[in-house]
Amino acid sequence: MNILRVIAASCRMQVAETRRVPAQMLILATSPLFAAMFLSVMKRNGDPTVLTNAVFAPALISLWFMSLDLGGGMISNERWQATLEGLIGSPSRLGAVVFGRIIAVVGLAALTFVESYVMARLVFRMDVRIVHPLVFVLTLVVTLFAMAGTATALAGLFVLSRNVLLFQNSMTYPFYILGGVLVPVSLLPFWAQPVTRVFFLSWSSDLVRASMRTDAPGWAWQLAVVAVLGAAGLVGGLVLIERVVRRVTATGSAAMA
Amino acid sequence: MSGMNQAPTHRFWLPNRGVLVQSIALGIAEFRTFYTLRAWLAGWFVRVLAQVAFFASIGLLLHSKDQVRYLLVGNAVALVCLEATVVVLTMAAERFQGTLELLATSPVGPVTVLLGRGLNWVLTGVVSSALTLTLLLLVFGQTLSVPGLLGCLPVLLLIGLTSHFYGSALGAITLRFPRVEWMVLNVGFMMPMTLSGVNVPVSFWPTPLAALAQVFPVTHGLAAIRTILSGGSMSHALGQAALEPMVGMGWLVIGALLYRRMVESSRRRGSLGLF
Amino acid sequence: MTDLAVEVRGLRRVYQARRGAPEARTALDGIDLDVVPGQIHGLLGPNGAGKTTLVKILSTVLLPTEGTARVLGYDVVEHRQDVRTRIGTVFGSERGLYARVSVRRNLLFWASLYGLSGRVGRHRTEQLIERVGLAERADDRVEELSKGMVQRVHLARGLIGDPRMVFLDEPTTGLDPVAALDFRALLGELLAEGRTFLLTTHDLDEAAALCAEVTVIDRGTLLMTSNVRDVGRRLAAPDRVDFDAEDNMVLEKLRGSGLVNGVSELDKPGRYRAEATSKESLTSVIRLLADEGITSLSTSPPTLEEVYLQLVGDRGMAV
Repeated sequence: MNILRVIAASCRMQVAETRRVPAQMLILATSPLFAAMFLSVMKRNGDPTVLTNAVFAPALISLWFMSLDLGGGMISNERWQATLEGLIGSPSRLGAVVFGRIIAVVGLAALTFVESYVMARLVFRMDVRIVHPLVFVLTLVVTLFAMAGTATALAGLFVLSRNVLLFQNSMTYPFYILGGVLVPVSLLPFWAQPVTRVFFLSWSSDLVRASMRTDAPGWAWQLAVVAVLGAAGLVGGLVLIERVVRRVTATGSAAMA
Repeated sequence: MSGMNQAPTHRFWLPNRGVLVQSIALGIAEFRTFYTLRAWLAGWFVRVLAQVAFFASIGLLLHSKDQVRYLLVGNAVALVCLEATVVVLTMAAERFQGTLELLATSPVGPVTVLLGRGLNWVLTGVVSSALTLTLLLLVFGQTLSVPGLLGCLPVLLLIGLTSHFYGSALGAITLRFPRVEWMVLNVGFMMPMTLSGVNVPVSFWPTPLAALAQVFPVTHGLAAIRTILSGGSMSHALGQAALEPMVGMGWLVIGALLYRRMVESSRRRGSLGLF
Repeated sequence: MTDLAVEVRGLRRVYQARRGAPEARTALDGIDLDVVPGQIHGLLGPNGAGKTTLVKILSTVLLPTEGTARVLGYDVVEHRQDVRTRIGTVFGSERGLYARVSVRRNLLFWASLYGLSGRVGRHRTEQLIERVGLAERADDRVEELSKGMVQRVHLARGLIGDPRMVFLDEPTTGLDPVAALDFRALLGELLAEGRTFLLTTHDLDEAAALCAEVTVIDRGTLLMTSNVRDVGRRLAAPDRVDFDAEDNMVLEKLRGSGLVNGVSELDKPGRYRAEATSKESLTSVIRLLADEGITSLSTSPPTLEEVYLQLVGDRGMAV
């Protein structure tokens, strides 16, 4: 299918560009620092039951940060390089290009899981045991998909907004809290809980922790929720991007009023 | 030619007051086009509140009110460093807009101008820190004393200035390596956040890292603020706070030297302008 | 269905007012245009005439406000997908490519967007790299190439889908003369493959050298469409005769004859040009010159440049 080919080609294009500007993968440098901060607090307080909360929190944080970064920059970059018109005038869909590029970055961002593990295991000498490897791996795969879908939605949303940087900034830490990456959302005030449950990261965070505990009840349907939220993001994003394309062809400008 | 070279080199070290005032004014003007009060409240302030609350909530996980307080104070104070190091972006933008070339060739020497640019972030950083500290101590049900909080303000300003010089030194690095400014900024402020006693005491770290922490911004100022807030002895707090500006002066010298090297070598390679 | 490559009828495009452009602007005001297949059709006009707007509408990246446009028989609004798979667009800017990656990577990417499978895409990419003479630089990043080379990459990009219709928007603007000449030679070769080109340009020499037909537009309206060879006849200007004269007697005689509007000296000393008042008087002028023993004379219609100058003035010439 051609759409898969376009996604694959966009993926390769993104990898080639990232290799030229490795600083784009900022999170690969910051995630070990986050790990150092979280693990130091946990280690100093020596409560083994909460140690697992900190191990993969840096990776989850990095994934969300990357989604925001990607979402904000993806279509604007095509605009600045004046490639947007070429993309719109081609027989393929802009959404496929955006999604393909996002997949590449998400794939690279998955390295933060390795970094988190290395920091916990080798640097902080912690006993990290993944009790349910299958749950862990499935969680990882579905979470990466959900992140790509959500980033696509953000890419469609951010083009429509003028102050992207401000949005990106204000969506970092509030969403780390709502995503329960470190402190489970069940500890948040009750009124905040429904909000957190439409955010894929809150389920992913629970699943990651569950895979490191002896009991992991109900993981299958939780995984399904992550997948559905990710798919919803993807579909919503593709619709929004089509709207952007329509607007560009109608007004002659990608500049959003 | 050598005579001509003397003048800028000489003035390089001497801040020119008029220019300094002008460049501060310019910094504030740029700042105001970027940030309206509403945008600040809705965007940035929500983020910094959440940032400190996020770290403080680790204390909840540990079921320790002391930990909540420790993390809350540390991370609230770290905000001023975070905001002041944003000067890294100002310097990168300077290069990007091509104004750096003009500054480098102006008679006052760029250090004067660059010292002034970005000072606005120090001020907003102090505001962010102080407001967040006050608000979240209340939200998390911690004790707070008004004299204690007021006593923190000058120390926050010192940390802000030190961070500004630290950020300027980091900014000089971005001049040589374009497109790394976000990386340098993030790693830049996360180093003190990790090592300077924000989340765990400096003594937690192995000796070499603990020693390194002594030359980062925040370390000494934060120690002073912790002393002040816990009602410790004033002379002890003053002694700790006095070390903070010394660290700042160190970074200023390093920054100025780096800056001159970067400009000189860029000039040789002809890469001072756009890329 | 028609056999025309491009068929435009009553095309209007209005840009609505927005931030930064407080007033609505009519870029195209009822344009009609026919482009015959298998040739290069020139679109001339000063900056802001509406050339780029027209190309954008024809290449489906902009919607018309009114009127219709068909490309290779397909309506650009109703059947835009059919249009997109059959056309290529070449922008005359250094931007519009992924500057940080290689020429080859760029072309492979666009090949997939034009629906070519992996193997076909690779084959087509190599073929085009060879074709535009960039075989040695195919692995270099686009940002490392000279302007002329970037323009060749643009051309290769435009040709990646093997389009029958190619839009070239100011492709030689900013190129040095040698690169521009090379580029034109390449276009000539591509023409021989049976493609149709619509070329917007400021460069009248370029249009005269490459195009079979030219259309002049200004302020969103069409001023003229003509075969390049016949372009002079479209002008209501009198015909001219150039001749050599050694003494002023002849010139005086001509000026006093009432047959000419004027006599002017040309670049070459001793060479003059007389503008006849009409086609009929042209014959009399030639007879008069022949009677004076002048044999080195030639008549010529106005050049494209002169026609253009008469139509739009000298705006847009200094680019």
